[in-house]
Amino acid sequence: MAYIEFKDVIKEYKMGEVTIKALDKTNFEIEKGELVVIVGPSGAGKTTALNILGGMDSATSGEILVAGKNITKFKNKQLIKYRREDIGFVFQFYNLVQNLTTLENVELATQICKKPLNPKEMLIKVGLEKRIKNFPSQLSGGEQQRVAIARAIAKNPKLLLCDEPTGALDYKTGKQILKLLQDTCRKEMMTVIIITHNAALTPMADRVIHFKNGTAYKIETNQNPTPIEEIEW
Amino acid sequence: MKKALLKDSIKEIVKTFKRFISILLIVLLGVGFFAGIKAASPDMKITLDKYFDDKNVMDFQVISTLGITNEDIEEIKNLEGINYVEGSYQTDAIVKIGEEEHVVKVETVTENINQLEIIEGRLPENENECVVETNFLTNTKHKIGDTITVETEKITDDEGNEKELLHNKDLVIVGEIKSPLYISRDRGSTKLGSGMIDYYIYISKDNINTDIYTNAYIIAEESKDLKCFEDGYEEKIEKQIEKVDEISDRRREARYNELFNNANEKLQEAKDEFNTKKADGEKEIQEAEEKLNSGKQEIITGKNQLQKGKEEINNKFKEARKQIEEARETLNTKQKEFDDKKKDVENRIGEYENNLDNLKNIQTQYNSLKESLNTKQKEYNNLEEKLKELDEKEDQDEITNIKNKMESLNLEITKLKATINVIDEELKNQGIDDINTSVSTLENAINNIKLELTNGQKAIDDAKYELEKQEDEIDKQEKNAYNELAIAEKKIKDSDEEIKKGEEELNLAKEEYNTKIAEAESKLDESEEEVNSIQKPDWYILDRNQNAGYVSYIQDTDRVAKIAEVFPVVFFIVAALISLTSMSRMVEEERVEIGTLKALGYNKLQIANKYLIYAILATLVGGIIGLVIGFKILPKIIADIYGMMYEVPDVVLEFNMTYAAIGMSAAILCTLGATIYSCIKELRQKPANLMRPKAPKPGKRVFLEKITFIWKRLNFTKKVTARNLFRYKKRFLMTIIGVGGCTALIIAGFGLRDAISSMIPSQYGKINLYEIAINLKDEYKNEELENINNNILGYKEINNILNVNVQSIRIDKNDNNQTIQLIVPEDVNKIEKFINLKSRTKKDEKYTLDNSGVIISEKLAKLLDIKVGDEIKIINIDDKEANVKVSHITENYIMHYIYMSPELYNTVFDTRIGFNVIYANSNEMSESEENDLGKEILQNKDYISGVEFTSASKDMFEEVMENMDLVVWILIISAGLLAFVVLYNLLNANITERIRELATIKVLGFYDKEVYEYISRETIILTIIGMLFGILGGYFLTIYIIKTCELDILMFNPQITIWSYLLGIVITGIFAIIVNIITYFSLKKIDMIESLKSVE
Repeated sequence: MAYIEFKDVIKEYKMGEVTIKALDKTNFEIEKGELVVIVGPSGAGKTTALNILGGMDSATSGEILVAGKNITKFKNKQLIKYRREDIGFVFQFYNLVQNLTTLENVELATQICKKPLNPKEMLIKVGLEKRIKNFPSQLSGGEQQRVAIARAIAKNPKLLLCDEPTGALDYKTGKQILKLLQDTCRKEMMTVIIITHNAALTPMADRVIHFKNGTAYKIETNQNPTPIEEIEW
Repeated sequence: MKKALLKDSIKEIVKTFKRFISILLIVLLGVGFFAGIKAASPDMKITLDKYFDDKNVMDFQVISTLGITNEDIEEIKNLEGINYVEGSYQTDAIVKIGEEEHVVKVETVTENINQLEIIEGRLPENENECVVETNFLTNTKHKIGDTITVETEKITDDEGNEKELLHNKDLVIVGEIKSPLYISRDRGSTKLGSGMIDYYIYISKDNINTDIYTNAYIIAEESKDLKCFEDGYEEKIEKQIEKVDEISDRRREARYNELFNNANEKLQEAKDEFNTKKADGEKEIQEAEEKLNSGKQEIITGKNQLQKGKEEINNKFKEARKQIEEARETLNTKQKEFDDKKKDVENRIGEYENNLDNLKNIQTQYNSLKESLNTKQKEYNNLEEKLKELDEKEDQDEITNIKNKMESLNLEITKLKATINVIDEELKNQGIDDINTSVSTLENAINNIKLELTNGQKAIDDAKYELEKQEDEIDKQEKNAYNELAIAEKKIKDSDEEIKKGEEELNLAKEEYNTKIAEAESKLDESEEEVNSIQKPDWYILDRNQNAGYVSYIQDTDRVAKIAEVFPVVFFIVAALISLTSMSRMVEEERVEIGTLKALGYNKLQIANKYLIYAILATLVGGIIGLVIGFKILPKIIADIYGMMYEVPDVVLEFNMTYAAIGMSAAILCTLGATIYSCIKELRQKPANLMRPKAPKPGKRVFLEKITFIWKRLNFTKKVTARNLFRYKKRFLMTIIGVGGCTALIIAGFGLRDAISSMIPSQYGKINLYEIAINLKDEYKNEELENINNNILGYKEINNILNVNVQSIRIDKNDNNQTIQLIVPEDVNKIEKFINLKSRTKKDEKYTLDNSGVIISEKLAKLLDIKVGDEIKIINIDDKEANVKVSHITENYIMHYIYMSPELYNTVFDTRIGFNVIYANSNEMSESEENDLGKEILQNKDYISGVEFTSASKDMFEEVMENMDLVVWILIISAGLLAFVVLYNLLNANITERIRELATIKVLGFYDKEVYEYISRETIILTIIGMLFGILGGYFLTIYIIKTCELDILMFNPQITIWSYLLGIVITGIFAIIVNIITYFSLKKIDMIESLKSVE
């Protein structure tokens, strides 16, 4: 049994009288410690799948098993607990709390966890040693995203979910961020799932899931993923 | 285009309905409260004005010290600008009900001015009817149809005669009325009874026994067109008063002359009468003296005459007696001669008598013979007759018998004849022819001689008798004469005595006369003095501002208006802040749209229009709803509260354009100002800049971080909270003002209640320590007072008493019309058991009364700006003035008092004070026991006029205070609304403005509770800070409200209890908790995915 299993997951949105199916019987599996890239065009259901996996949204039907637990059956409180202990999120727009310093933003996450990593060490790891006392507004986009990643990783989650983490970044910075994610996956043995619309990135993943019209229509596995440094786009 | 914008605005409103509502609500509150409270004052004034117009209440009145005559009224009527004048008679009177005496103001019903409102029954039509105010009926338990007796003081008419004022003292109550002249509970003061008037009653003009009025009520022309509290009215009335003032000199002169001439005429008459009477008296005395003198003279002549008369009489009777003596001697001689002669004659008579006796014998024989002859002859004749008759009958026997008898008779006759012849022969021889004649001749002769003798003797006897008679006569005369003399003498003696008596009497009369004259003279002098002391009357021209009820009503409404000035300010500030936060958020949220529009070429105003319209719509809708509610409800509530103290009709609710405009302008200024401010910030930026997402507000270190020793101790979440608190300054300010305002309003509400409710226990439990005040009929001193005291102390319930003099006085300062009671205790050392004179602020400072000055009550000192050491001029009930020093100011809450030692009183007023009230301490008593004791004490009607228990005053004031709870409720409700709007707005701002942050922490796995705490920690701290400010604000607001709305006669106790503060905090807390509960659920509903979607 795989670490993560999506079984016939359907997600419907009701927009007045029209029902839109964001996910239509999606099925895929992910193994523990894999770096997964989900690719597909806009509106294919990537984010919806990730949100449901991350406990931020619920599926209309179907089953999602994470480490053997069916999270679709979770009540609200269980979902929060799941988010709190098992999930780390990284967004396109970082979503740092503006009023908190870099360190504090990481601490915001660690203080609610059972076994957090050291926030300072985490920041050193992401290379922001000198930015610890700065506020987000004083940082560049890449730096902010690194803070966001540090915040997500510091929670010591089972899953690190990243929704277009480089979408707002330039090429070079984006590459650095991706490197960080790849390294994290490899070094921390963390399962990392990255959404991107950039198909060029697929070689870096252990597993690539292709989305189209609400379903994962193609799942590939790379036996030898390419390090990000070697990928050009 | 414009339509499009409006549409856009309306769409925006629908989209951000909560935001719209919060602006609308706060504007509604601000405008509603401002306009509503502000309008209460003019509404109440208009109500009064209308009431006064309806009842034709006078604009001003003239009161003259010597009364108003019909001519006065005519003259005033003829002045230009005067619409109507009517006279009325006013006096104070006592009405006795049971044992209790009530002081009433009696006034005549006026026809077309100061019209009475009939509550029940009708107006008096006859002189034995009256109408009374409602309180009279409720308090005395009388009803229409009952009769009361009204005792007034006697009046002096123009001729100077004392007379009863009323034709009829027993009056039937025919109606229950309300007079527009007495809208407050104040009925004024009087010299009667307790010094305060209890009730007013109205009687018919016919019942008044005089043509003079005490008041002339005047209505000026067109005064009704003006509102009586506006300047125009005052000006107009002042002008009219001046006009009346101009004629007052002449009218006063006329009245003076009338009275002076009347009195003077009377005086002259009295003088004339005196003079004539004096002259008459003198004349009478003179006459009496003359009479006495002439009487004396008469007595002297009388005495002389008497002497003369005596002598005359003596002489006269001596002579008379002499003559009688002489006559007696002559008579005696005559007697002797006669006696001699008589002897001779008597001898001769003897002879004659012998002869006569012989002769008589013969005569007797002769005569008897002759008689026998005659008898026989007759017999014979008779027989002859018989015979003749018998012949005819032929009775022979009889005839024969008779013839025989005749024969014998014949024989005898012849014999007799023969004898007679013989005798005749013999007598012839002796010379006697007829014996019978001789006898009688002889007899005659003898008798003649005898007669002569007797005659002679008789003549002598007669003479003798005559003489004796004469003598008797003389004796009698003499006696009479002497009697007469004696009488005359007595008469003279009597007259003498009489004259002496007369003299004495005259002297007495003279004395009396002199004293009477002196008396009359001094009386005349007195009246003359009186006449000269008649002073020109004073005219007091009083407008409505001298009507206590009117003035306090107007002052009270002004106070309400003042509260309206502070109170809604909080709402306006909060409205501005809410608009500011809401609008700037809105503008920020739509910066891209703004940027687009700007890029498309719209100018700033066109872009801003949408937001301005939004703000204006919120303000207008909120404001108009606020105005409608405010104008409808608040003036009514406020007027109702005041209505408990004033007797005016239901308030007239008006839509007050001025205040509506001011309130709306203020609200629009706040919201539009805030909107423009928010817009300008964004509109200044370049379109390109606007199109980009706004750089998030940079995080900042707060000053607290510099205080490392505190900062270090804070845990992570607290640090976040601390930083957030200082990050949103507008929100911070708004919350503090809103929550603070809420707390302050609630504290003010309860504080006001504290201030008012603690007033009664303070006054009646800590200051006025006596339980009973016994009013005496008069002022008493010395033994009289001692007797009364002993009597009162005889009641077992009464432990201790203090005699005091209580009188209404005035202070001549600052044009004030405060009613002040002067209290002079008999014994200054005893007063502390009855009245606690002490400082309010310094706990242990007690004051004692001494002769150095007076102690005045605190509120009075405040009102008149009197300080310890000041000298004040007081005017006592007899209008005497005195300057006294203020030695202390004492704690006091209800009414105004001045305390003075009796020695000081006697010194400054140059009198000896008496005491008219007894304060008594009693055992604890139930209400019924109090009633019984009251009745018992009132039995002593000779000297007691009333008994008051402080418990009664306590009850009355407590009733008034209950009404204040309504004010508290208004304050609490408005406070709640304020807190709610502010906190809800804060919540709204927190959620919408920080939604990404919240979504983020939710994603991070914060439990609902933790998310809530993340936000509420800030809210709670802000609320607590707000409360702290609110406590401070509440204190000052309470002081302010107390200052502006406390009545002149009351001093609220400005001590807010800890409970009020606690309640303020708790109630604010409850509002905060309600809002927090809503927050909790709102936070739970936040959709993380939506919130975290890209900014576009």
